Amino acid sequence: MNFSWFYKLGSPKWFYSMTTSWVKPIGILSLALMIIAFVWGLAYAPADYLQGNSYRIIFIHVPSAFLAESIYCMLAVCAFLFFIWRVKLTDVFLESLAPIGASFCLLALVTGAIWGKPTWGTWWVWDARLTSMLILLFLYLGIIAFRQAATSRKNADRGCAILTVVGAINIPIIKFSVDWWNTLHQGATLKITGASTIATEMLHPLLLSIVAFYLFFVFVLLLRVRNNLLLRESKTKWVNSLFIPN
Amino acid sequence: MFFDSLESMLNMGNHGKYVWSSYAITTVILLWNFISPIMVKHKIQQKSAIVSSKTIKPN
Repeated sequence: MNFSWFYKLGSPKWFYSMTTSWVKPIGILSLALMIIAFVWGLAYAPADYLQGNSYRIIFIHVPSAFLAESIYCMLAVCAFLFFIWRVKLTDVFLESLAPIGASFCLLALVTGAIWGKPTWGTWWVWDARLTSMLILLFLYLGIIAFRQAATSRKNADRGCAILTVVGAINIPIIKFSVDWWNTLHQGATLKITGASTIATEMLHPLLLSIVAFYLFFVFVLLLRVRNNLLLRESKTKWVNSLFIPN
Repeated sequence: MFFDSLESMLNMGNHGKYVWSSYAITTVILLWNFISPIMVKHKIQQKSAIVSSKTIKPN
């Protein structure tokens, strides 16, 4: 089997030149979809029979929580690839993913707390879902802090990869916390297997918002990865050739 | 549109302050995600311009 495409994928120069034309269209598309999803969710979707209008926070809370968890899964995959194949790009992704994941985790926690006040009558409870999400935020912050405190880039990459793999145990805990424990947080609204427990009029803007958030994530990830590539490869010929004036 | 007027949309049955503050915080976090790498790129470009002006000899 020919694996040349895989090794090509790990080449910083190839990745940088390949993604140059992707950044702008993905950014514009994500912004357009996000505006449509927000207007749809805020102005056109009906109110919830029980929660009233406070449920409209779902259109930002669910996508940001999905992203916070899936970005950590991506971090764990990158950490594995870093240990097994030592692909150059994986450590760049490790460095770039953590701050984005932390920001979406913070957003999920803050919007969840704001949603909790009119729904549960409190900003915060120490239940399984909320606490495991808070631990996820601390894991992200720990990875970022470790990288900044490390004495060399090699130590930072290796340490962050170990920390990421160890912390991955928290992901199934977050996912199944609402099933394993009796929590204040509601069960899963969207289900891959079985019918979703949300009205179609609310489901469509929610799905659109999720797509928009994921596209936005790809957009900002590309911006960060490309920057980190330039910084790490600053002494190479291909990077210097980018900045030579015509 | 679900709401009768702009006022009722802003008020959202007394839930307006929760909903709109959530969307405002979201906007700030999304903007931070966008602006911070743009600023880093700007710094890299400035630094590289200085380096290349030093290394390229004038004719």
